[in-house]
Amino acid sequence: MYPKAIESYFAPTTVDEALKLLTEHRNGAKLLAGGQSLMPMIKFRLVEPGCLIDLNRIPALATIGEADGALCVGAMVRHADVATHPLVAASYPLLADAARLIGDLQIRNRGTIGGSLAHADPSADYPVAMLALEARMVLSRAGGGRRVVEADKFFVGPLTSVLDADELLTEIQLPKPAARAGGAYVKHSLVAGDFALVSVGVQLTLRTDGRCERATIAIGGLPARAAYARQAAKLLAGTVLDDAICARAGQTAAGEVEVGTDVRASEAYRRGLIASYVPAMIKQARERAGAAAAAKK
Amino acid sequence: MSAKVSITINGQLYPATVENRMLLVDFIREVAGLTGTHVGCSVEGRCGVCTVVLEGKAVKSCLMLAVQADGARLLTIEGLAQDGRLHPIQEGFWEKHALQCGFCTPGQMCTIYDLLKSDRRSDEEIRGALSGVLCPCTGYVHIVEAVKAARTKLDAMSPQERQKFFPL
Repeated sequence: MYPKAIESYFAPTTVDEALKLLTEHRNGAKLLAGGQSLMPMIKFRLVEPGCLIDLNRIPALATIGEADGALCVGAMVRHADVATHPLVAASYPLLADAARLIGDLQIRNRGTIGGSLAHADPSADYPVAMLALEARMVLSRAGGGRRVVEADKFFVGPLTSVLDADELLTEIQLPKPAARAGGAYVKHSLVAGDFALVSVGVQLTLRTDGRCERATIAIGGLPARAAYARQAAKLLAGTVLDDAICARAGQTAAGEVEVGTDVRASEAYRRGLIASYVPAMIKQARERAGAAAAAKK
Repeated sequence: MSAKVSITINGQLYPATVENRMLLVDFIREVAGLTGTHVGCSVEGRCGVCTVVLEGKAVKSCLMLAVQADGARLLTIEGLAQDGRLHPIQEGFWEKHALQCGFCTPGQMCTIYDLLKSDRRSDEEIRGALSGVLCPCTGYVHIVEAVKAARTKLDAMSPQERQKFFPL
């Protein structure tokens, strides 16, 4: 299947150059990141860009580093590198889990975190991880304009984010977790490498007495966008996270998010998945938080 | 509309002027004439049959444009054998009967190349990697056996000999 003719193709080597091109060609231009979603859409001719701005030759967008109490992940960092990076593994196991579960080996070699987030697929893995970790998205535009948007405000609906036509998602900032923090992520799909019927991310901070200080629970595979299960997360604060409270949180989460029916699974089935995966992820996050605390002693 | 590109495939440079919209897989098959790389699903990038090795990493060549690979080095199925000896991955497939129709085999082998080059080569990781190339014939049992056999062969080699089979 051939894409429609593409009038112009640019491969800038700096962010400034990319932003300038984006402003000049804002009508009909698409930013090309890993291409694992955009290329199929171009081949299906769902998208027919007259101009492609390829971000793959911008080294500044492909770095992971620490700054201002956060882990800063460049938008062009590939899933395989997120999954294996020592700084991610050390403090953000939830994110490493999510990256490892995306697509297949070839997709993880090529696909990028910024590309996936900008695509805003409601069944994708990263949006759930971003909500659970309370990430911030850095959006840049030509002339030095820059805004920082929290993950919950970034996603609008299916395949829609707050990105303007002349903006580029340049960086994802992940606030450094507390000493006794841990997280876990799981997805349930029909076959290996598929999108999620349901996915669950849980991030916990424990107090010194082992009780839960605070928790975030995020759910994916929903019709519009990944969402917080806020009431369920609130239930956990101050508790010892025993089986009973975990089960209650699962039921609460399953009831509070907007769940849909489609050709792959019914609403009831999806709610059942949420009710069983939320407790499992709370327990795994608790174990990891305990291990993180022990390692820092 | 079109651009000049130079792509090195299996050690040979292929300069050409191509349309921006030309897919890398079509460059490999039609410009370079290397038809060992197959086209399966052709649109979605789901089947993995067109997988090639780009700078050492397995990628689906139907999800990249040829212009994106300008200046890059690729390996395809035609480039796996070295000095007249089949690649240990190819030997493994032969010995363990890991193919029936053979259509997906080039994609399987290029994916496995990436896996066996790395230190992520446990039995579980082999099965995980194979999930990225659809094989409707075999049920994968013999493919898993073939990859394990290739792993054993490579482990028995000296580092220099092993290196020869991973030029990228």
